[in-house]
Amino acid sequence: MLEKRILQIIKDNLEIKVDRDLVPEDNIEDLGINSISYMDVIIGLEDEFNIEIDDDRLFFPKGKKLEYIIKLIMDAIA
Amino acid sequence: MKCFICISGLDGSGKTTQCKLLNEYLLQKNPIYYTFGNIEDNKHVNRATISYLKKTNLVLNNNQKHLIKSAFHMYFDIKQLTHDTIYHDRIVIMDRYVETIYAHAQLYGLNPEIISDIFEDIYIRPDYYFFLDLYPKICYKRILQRGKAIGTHEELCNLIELYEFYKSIVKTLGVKLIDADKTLSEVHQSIVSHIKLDCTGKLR
Repeated sequence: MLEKRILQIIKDNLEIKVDRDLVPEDNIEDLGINSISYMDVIIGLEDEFNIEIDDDRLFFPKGKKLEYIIKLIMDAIA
Repeated sequence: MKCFICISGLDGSGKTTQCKLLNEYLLQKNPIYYTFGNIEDNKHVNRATISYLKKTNLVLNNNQKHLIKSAFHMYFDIKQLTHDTIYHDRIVIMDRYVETIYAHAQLYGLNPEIISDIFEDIYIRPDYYFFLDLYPKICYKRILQRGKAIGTHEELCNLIELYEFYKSIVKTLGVKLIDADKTLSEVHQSIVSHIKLDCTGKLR
């Protein structure tokens, strides 16, 4: 359920329109996310879950999949 | 810092070349050459940018957000210059400075007060602040000759807008105009003729 919520928030913060549900296996850059729009995604997730992601993990996850962001959020919530 | 020298100008005006020449010229004084190139992915910059965007709740386009990130990148560089002991008692040569951020704020329609807000309390006035004065058309020609992809800010219409902005702020910032439509050596000589260093490297 949490994973689904995270994916929905990511989708809400995308700059491009994606007409399907996101899945953890989606490549981050394939969704049009770059180092700038990634900040919007992080802001959206931090606000939604009232968390602050560890600064050491704020780097743009180049070449990674959405499962990376899901883990990032789950770790911050835990 | 013993001496803080900034060289500014449009892309293609020869800033980096002149900074390198100046670095060589001052080599015996052990200068530090500092350039604002591509923004590295830096955790402090990322957090500061995110926090600022959250705090201000500004609705911005990607260019404007990128510029805020650039401003924080410069902010942390300036902070390092003022706090890191390796910079104490050294000559620092800076390729671009805050004027670049202000000029791009103008270009991308970002309120300059946002930039001032970011740089508040951290701005250091350079001892020598040069602007390489070269017409945008010549800069554009040089940029094309590099054979690399042209960024938005490097398009001729934007170079013209940036040039007009730079020229309008040089007086406010106390920037010295250097005629850059000359040979590399002549421009270099023109720059060094303004820099007065005694034998110990201290400013007269």
